Amino acid sequence: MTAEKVELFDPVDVTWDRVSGRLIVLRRLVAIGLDLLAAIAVVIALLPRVGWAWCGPILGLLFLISIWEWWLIGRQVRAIGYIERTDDLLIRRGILFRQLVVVPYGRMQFVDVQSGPLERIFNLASVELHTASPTTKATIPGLLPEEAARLRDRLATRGEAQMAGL
Amino acid sequence: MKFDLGTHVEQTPPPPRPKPEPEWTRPHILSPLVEAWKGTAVVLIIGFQPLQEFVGELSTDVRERFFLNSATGILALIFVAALIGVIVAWLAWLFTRYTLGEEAVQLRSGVLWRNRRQARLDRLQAVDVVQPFLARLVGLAELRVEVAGGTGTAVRIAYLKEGEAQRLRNQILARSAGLDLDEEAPAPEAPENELFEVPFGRLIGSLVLSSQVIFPVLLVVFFAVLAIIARTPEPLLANLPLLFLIAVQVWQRLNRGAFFRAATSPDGVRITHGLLEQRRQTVPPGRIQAIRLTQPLLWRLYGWWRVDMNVAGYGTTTAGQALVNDLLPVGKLNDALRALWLVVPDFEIDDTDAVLNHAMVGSGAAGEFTTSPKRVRIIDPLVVRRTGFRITPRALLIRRGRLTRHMIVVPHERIQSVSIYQGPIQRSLQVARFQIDSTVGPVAPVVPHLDTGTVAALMREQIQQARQARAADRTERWMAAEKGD
Repeated sequence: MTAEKVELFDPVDVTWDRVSGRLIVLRRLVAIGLDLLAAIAVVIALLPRVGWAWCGPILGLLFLISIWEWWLIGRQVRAIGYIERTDDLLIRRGILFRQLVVVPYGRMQFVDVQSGPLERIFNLASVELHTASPTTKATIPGLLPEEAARLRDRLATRGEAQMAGL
Repeated sequence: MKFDLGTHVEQTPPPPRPKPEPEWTRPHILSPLVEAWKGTAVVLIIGFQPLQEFVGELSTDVRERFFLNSATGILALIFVAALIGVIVAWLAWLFTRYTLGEEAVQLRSGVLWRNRRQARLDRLQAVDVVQPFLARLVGLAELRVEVAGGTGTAVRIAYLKEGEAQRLRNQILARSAGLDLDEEAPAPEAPENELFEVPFGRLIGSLVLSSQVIFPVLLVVFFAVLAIIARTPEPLLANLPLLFLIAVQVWQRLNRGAFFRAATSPDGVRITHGLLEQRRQTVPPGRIQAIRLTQPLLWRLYGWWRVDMNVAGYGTTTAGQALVNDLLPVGKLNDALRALWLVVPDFEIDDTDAVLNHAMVGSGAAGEFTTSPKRVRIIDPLVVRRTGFRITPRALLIRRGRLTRHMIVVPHERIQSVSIYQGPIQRSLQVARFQIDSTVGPVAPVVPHLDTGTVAALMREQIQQARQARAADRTERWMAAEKGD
């Protein structure tokens, strides 16, 4: 069998629900903020000792990294998708390193809804599903709080209806 | 003709019989002594020398006043410390009580911070009776009730008289199984059917032929040679801590593998093992989430296999806990197959023996195995034809490893979730990694580098199979289920 190109992470009958675009802004701000901090640290710690000859390229590199992150974050967030199906929840993420996880509702042990201080400013929340397995990585970030609450309730109801023993 | 007036009178159910307040019992009165002994022994072994030195540095005046001039004085000091330990343990004991109700085992403990834990019987994953060496000497045992989730043992009752611990275990298992029992009468012990045991000689042999022993021994030989060449014991002495560590590891494997016996019973798998500390584990039916058969390279000489299992109640967060995940420390092919039979009694395929043989030692497409595509050779040259899987109606078989052989079996109804991963290199080769998420444990059911088309089909098939198997699974209350059929 020759390798046929299979869109493994985009099954045919699936239209992904996407997360809020504000997550892009939030993540970009955080990334740029960290880069700025790094730049300031470089200037304070290294500039008096080694001068611009060394600091210049380092700052340049940091700048390039920032631009790359800016571009990457946009693509990454747009790659996050989830869909509620009859019996399970599908979550996909990643561009370079892709991941798709299928969690049957009957396997959910509990659902976490989280919203940190930064996320609250941007009016975002994330939903995390927990099964009895520690390797299940099922987090949906960047949801509107209403959508997160709706999802949590839906998942809880469906989980209860299909609950199976371990 | 009667007609409905509309004022529907609800039939009130008879008032429920007032349930007697569950009887709370204390652990055995000798428990504090056994608990405190551990600490005292450690203090005695590690603490004596430093303490003597410390006392030596004190001024004579202070020493005179506290009678610390001799070894006897220091022993007395340790004795006082031990006494304090016993008093603390005794206080804790005073506040510890347990009870077995209809729905759960409960434990109250804590002197200052009161703690009340319960393990729901319908969530029960395993019940262990553990006897540390000293407890064994005085005929005491501790009971550990494991449920899924959380860290550590759910409810640990230490210590009970050995007979009492077993009686309580039987009671817990019977109630958890859903048997209707007389409130008062003790639950009968489920009859056992011996499955396999591990002869002591074979255990020693398996340790000798394992990399955990061979490499350390080579290391010791290397240091000894160095020592002889240099005409000084320095190299050996300098590495003493390392050698000690290795010795401890080997000892642990020996200790937990010794006198290993497994049996089946209506309550599930019974596993008994331990040299000094003895453990009797009971894992009810359907609680083994995944199993792995392993054959290290040198074990091929004797055709030995090892079997590990994932059980939701047994975490492997600490090295000490990992020892409960052995289903068979070493055994012949037949023993390993019996262990496998515990988890999947029937694969529901025609040529089970042949397929299992392909799974354990084979490679290529024989036995309807699907392997990694050839193009993966660039990144994974040796194991391409060995890495593979086969779906049977009851379970997924995964086969891996060229030198150390592995076969992983996951029953469809035990799958938690299914994940697939793909990195950039895998993407360029049109392959992906397939992973079944199982509970905490040593077994990780993963197939790296499968053709993307294969992965898509496998995922679809697994989701389907798991759904059907889950719907048919009735192991939650295993005896009640049997009656219902």
